[in-house]
Amino acid sequence: MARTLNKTYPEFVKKAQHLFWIKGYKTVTAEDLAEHLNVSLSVIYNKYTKDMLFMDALDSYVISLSDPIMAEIRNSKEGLESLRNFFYMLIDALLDKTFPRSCLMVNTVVELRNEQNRVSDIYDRYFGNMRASYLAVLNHAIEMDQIKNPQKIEAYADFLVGLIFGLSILYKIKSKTQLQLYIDEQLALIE
Amino acid sequence: MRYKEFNTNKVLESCITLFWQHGFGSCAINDIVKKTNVNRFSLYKEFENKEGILLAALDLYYERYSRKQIALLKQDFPLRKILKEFFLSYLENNETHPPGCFIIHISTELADNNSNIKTRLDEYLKQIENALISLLQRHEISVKIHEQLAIRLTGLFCNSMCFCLIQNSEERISYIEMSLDLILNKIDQDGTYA
Repeated sequence: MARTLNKTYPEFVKKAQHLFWIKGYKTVTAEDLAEHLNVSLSVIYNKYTKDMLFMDALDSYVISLSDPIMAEIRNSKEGLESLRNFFYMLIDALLDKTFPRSCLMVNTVVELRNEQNRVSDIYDRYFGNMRASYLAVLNHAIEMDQIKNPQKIEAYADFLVGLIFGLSILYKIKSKTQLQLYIDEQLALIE
Repeated sequence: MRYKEFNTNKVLESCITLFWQHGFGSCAINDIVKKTNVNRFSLYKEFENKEGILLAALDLYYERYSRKQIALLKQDFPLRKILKEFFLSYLENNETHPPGCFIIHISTELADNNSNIKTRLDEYLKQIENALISLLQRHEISVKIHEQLAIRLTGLFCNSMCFCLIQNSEERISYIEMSLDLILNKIDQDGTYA
């Protein structure tokens, strides 16, 4: 009991996030969570439920991980180069397991699709913010004269949002060099 | 003489549905017994273990469904039309399967730590890439960009098998058309696309 009181809820969320990231949502049981968080099963049933921990794990992924990176991209003044840097960073995180298994949001899309409205709301926010950030970079890139067809900017933003999904599969079988080359070629399509 | 009392493919079809809906990790052997009406002993005798069931289910899925979808790339239509039809064939609403691809679904869950699944994913994407290369050859596209283009289109396959799961059908069509335009127009600009 003392142990439970010492730990704060954000710590629980962080630990639960790691478990969901590796195993997915449906595979994780209340018993898994109790063991992983080192609390009694009744805490999971009565206080911090699996659904509550999962939703907060997704929220925390958006707020502490993705939002700051997206803000950095939006404020970068390097145009297309900042997109390349972002995707290279993502490739490193996928390969060195800073991201324990793919991108948590992509895993959730594949596993749950639109089965839960509350989760779909989080996708909207996450992918909406990602798209807005890409648009901001594309606008910088246009100012820097890096893009031949500025009128296609909306399509380019949609295209870029799609890339994280494919990378989340391809990293499982491709090398770092292959993945970087893949990104270079994708970015060449919008130059 | 003792006959096997169940139809292997029918059992595997039920397992595809089960694993696709719930994920492989969350299905216990009891869930499989309940879904297929085959007892545990017979399942183990046929497939050895739970992973054996999964691998056999992936193989059946490839033989029954993926093969037909990949064969769409052999049709005699304009390039854009063939590609669009190929991508959308995975995303149609049908009663047997959810949208997307079972092999990609299982790989997302397991390919990081399971080398059998990883190998199957690798082979599967290579099959698609090769079918794309043959398609490009038939459309008189300069040989030197076949491979590059096939890699881009395989990338689009991976993007759309995940991204399109949360899109409605209009968004899916527009995403795939837009991406194909981008990938194929680039060839026009390079002057190498016939």
